[in-house]
Amino acid sequence: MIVVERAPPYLTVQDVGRPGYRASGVPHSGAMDQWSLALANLLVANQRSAAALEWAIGAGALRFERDAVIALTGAEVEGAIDNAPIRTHCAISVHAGQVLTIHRLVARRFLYVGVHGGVDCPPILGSRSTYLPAAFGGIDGRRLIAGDRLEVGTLAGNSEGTSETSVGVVAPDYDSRVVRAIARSGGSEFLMSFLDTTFTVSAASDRTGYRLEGDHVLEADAASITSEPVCAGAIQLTPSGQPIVLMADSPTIGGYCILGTVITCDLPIVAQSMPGRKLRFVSVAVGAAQDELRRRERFLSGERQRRP
Amino acid sequence: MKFEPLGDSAITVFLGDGISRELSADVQQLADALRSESIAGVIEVVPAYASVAAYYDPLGIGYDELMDSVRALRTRMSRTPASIPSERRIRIPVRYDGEDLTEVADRTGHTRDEVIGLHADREYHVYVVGFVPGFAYLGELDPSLVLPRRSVPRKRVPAGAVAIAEAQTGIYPYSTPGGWHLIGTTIQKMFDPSATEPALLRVGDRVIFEPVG
Repeated sequence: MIVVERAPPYLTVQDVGRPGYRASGVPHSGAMDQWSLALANLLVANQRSAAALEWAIGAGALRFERDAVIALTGAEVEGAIDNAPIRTHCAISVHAGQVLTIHRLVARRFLYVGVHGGVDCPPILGSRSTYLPAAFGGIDGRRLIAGDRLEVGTLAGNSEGTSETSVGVVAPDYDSRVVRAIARSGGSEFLMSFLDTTFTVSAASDRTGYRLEGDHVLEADAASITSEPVCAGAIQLTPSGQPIVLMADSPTIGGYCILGTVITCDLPIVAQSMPGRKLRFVSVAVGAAQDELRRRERFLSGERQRRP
Repeated sequence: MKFEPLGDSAITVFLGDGISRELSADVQQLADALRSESIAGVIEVVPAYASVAAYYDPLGIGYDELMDSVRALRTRMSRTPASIPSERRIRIPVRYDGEDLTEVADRTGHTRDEVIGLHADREYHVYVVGFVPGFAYLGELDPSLVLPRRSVPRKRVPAGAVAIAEAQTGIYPYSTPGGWHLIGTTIQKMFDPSATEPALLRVGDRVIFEPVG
């Protein structure tokens, strides 16, 4: 059992997401930074589908009532287990009664706390992800609060950690200001102007989408279209001339012109961008994006198989 | 038919442009065919007004390969007589007590009872399910009830609110922000996350509103 002693302003249960229900209007959801979630699960020898905690904005503390193996990925943090400073991106053994305190998030936006066995709560439509707008998934579909008690799943077998050094080859480059996207074929002038623009991530950003403010306003004549299917990563041009990158809780359909879609491998870079960060987009072919995704997935499954 | 990548894990197939029942039926047929075809790697299929998206796992199928599969499927569909898409008829009880009913009546030059009559005396077609879980876009509204969306959206629309905007009507499955005109409420549950098919309505359904006192 994990007890939330002090809740940060944002703390939810998230996993790989909730595919299969888009036709009912249910967003895919899941962790904002899927790479960091996958890495946390890998470090604690979990299945890819295990749920972890997604933590943002501020300080908080978790008490572990049983021995546990955990891993912290995503944001860089200052924190401690009891009084010992913690390291991120490696497996950490925590003893019953110890308290994990996060003092602050130093860089990036979302911290993932993975635990061997996974955070256990009743899956809703096949996923433990918290979907706040409709209040389902996770714990009662809400942010976690002080006093919440989280079950941890039991897993047979080894929970020995792995070191992060080996993942560098396929990990997203979080320091990059350049994000790759697959462009839509229509409106090449639009697109050129879009690719020429440096954007600032706006404070008006949440799990549904990140608003971007361009250094110049894009022509938005054709911004409203007949609604069509969208997904996380889709870059929509709003009538204001400023784009939105749809994120994990993206609606299933959208009525704004789509300029392109951020590739799966680079979406974590966008997700981890704090308001004020500058980003620029470059166009990449579908095939190249898929090759990279296959490399990343093969790496993750290869690492998992190598373990005892 | 036109193809566009929706990122590296989805493809959108455009069958036309705009909103019409014919196009919607075409979209629904392709969506149904794609689902029953069970193409390896395809995870789910989502119909919209003029397009269908197939979400897939690039480890199971590539973009070009999927495009070829959709083309081949479409060719086969054109050779066989079109199956009539399933048409379910769903009745939804409505208490016409919406906050905006009087304003809608005033702006459209009707009495409140006329608005109720015009809204209820009609069979609607489900074009799209989306925006939020379980929200169905129903058309078409009587032309005399067509109004633009509210200039300032409400921060919270109550769950079960029956609303209209432009040529469409819909029901808010739960409390969300919303910009449509509220004309009534229903006790019918529109979305149930514990059900296998969580949304009450699916694309292609026929919907009839029944006024209750």
